Amino acid sequence: MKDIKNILDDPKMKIRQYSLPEGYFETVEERVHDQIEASQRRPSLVAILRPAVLLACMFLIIGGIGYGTMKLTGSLDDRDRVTEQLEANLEGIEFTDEEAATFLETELSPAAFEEMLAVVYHY
Amino acid sequence: MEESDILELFRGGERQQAFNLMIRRYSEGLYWHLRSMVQCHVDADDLLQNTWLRVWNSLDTFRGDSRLYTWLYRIATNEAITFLNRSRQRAMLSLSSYTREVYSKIAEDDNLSADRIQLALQHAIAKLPPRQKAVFTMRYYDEMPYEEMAEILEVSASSLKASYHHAREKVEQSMKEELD
Repeated sequence: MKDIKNILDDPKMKIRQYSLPEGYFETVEERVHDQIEASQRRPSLVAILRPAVLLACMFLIIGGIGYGTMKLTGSLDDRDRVTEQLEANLEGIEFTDEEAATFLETELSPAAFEEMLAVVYHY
Repeated sequence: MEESDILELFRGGERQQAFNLMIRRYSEGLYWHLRSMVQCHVDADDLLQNTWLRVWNSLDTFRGDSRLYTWLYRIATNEAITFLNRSRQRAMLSLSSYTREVYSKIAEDDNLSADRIQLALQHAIAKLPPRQKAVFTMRYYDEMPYEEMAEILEVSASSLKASYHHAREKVEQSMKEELD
């Protein structure tokens, strides 16, 4: 360890031995100014909006693919079929206004029933 | 041109001219300080550019409480410490060894790889934690007084003495292991 201490204390060791590209320090000032200029350059409106536009396009493409797939497989028509079925089930069932009022009065809480009446009759 | 002349120019509204003089006067010293810490030219060059960019953006906040030289070294040292911490974290995340990465950068430098003892010293420095690396290189290479280092690193001179002593022991141990 004593040898290492002596080696470290040798003044020659304290001189940095790193290599350096020729003329490096002569270029520093110019490159610093270039970097400052680049950092101060304001981005154009196109550059600012580009990510948002790309995102919107992506959503449109995904939505288009989804719609196209549903259209091709007939999934979209399922909703119409369900509506038709419900209408068919309700066909033939008839009730009077009185029956409807009695039904609502028994099914709704008194406060909700009052509220509904207020909405229907505007009082 | 003296530091006071540069500041005089700056206060007189000659911001650009004062900044250019600062670059000319301090770039070399700052570069070698950064190079000792990161040990690779490309990284030291990037850090020097970032240091000047930061200086330019915060010139108006310099109130002259400390010397210009101290202020510049503080900015450069903080840039280097942040860089070293990030490099370590990045290496950890990619499951590689930061020290090994630095070893390969050092090996690319013909001046260092030709000298076994120099190489051992550089390897030992690479192993030091970032803050201790700053303390060791400022004291060892630049023989900077502890009081000046305390101003730059914003810690007490006594704790820096202890830190340097500890770093030097680590360096000696590492060199011994490599050279034996």
